[in-house]
Amino acid sequence: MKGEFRSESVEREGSPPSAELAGRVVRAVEEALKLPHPAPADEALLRDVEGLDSLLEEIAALREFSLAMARGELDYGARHRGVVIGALKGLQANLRHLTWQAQRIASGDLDVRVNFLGQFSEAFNSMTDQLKGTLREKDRLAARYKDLSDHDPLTGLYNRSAFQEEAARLLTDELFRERSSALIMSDIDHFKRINDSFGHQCGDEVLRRVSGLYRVGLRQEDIVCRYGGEEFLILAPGISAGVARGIAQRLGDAVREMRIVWEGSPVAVTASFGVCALPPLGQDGFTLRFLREHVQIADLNLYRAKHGGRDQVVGGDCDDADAGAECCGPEN
Amino acid sequence: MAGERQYEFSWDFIGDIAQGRPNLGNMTRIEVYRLFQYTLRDVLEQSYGTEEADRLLYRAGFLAGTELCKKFVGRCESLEEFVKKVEALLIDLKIGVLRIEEMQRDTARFVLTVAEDLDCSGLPEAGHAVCNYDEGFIAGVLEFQTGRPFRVREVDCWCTGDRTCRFEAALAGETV
Ligand SMILES: [Zn+2]
Repeated sequence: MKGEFRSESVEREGSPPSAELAGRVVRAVEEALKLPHPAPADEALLRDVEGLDSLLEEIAALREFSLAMARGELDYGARHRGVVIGALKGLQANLRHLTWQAQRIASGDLDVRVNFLGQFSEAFNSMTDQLKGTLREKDRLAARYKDLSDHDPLTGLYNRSAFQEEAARLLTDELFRERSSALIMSDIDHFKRINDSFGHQCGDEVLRRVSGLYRVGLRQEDIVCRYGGEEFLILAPGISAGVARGIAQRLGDAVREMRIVWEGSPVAVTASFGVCALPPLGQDGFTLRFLREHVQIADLNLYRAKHGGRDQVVGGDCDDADAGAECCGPEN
Repeated sequence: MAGERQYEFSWDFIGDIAQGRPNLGNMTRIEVYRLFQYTLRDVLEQSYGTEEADRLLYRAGFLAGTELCKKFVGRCESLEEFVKKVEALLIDLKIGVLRIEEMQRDTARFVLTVAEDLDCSGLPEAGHAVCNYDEGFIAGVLEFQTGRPFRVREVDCWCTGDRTCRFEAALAGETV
């Protein structure tokens, strides 16, 4: 048998008795297993024991591998084979796979699950579950904060900055990029008077009701924001200023017909509108300047509507956005 | 090859199990699978020698890996998604527990292990790896997703005393 120490060579005359030799072999093996720096088994006597060399070499390999694993060197390549080293390789394989799993988590895949390494996998899996829950909650809160920061708390309409963002998104959208659109600026008439006569709470109610009318009176693709105190800005993508004028007139009718009774008294509300055509985006694409220039025109038309007696629409009489027309072109 | 082929692989050979085995169903025991593989391997070795028999098993594994992916996995957007699906499938079909240890995207080198392998887990120590079928299988799986030919080599096997089979895969033509 390989590794048998009672070989013929040690039964020579003058040789130490087998028990003593066996003892030295055991000590050599023990040292190889237990001491940090075992002395090489190079006694002449031991050299004759067949198979001892390779056994000690395997133990040395096992030591090296175990130490490498203890140091966390997961890439250590163990060349030897056998059940003990094999078991260590199994542990190494688990740890290497775990490393990969952790890398997957780091890259955002939180569905990674470990189904080995006993208690550790339970802890690992509950960690990824927790992480997933935390991230979900974070996303929910982020969405909620975004929503809060995008909307005017009183009317629920977009605020100015969210409107700009949305306008940029809409006007650069494939659907509308090459088409004309329209802006409508609206202002509630004599709003200060309403506040003074009925109080600010009534003013708030008027703002809420008018916002509600605008929201239901517009198409799904239109966006509206509370631009200032009692001022609203609407973007109607993909339609001409003429069509937008019609929309503004309908909104004006709806405001006029709205019935608000505050503490027993009816509150009469009207609104004025200024319309402006937005030409298709040019080479520069969407810029805030582009939007601002056209908002100014809509605002100018709103000013004219106010001056013309309120409760009316100005702008959008001409339908050619590029014509530089009196009513709605930027040159005006 | 003489004459027309009779056994070019198709899923028709898997048959309508529900109809064909109404009482016994679609399960059998590992012993049966291994009996089949190792008797076939016996006669392949006798007829063609060990190396050629190993090569034939590799090719059969390659075909199986490709066909299985074609039928049950499909090509995926990302390699990670694909690996996840294959892992789940191998567990589902009780083929083995596949785990990735390393994935080098730039060089397309992989190190992966298969634990509780269908072909070798529990076999006596043989001093050499035996999972040539698995090697081919993994090569087929990788080529299916990436469209590039892989060469797979088993570096540790249950039969070499290791408790898990470890495979290294690299693009064919490069050293594994
Ligand atoms: Zn194996």
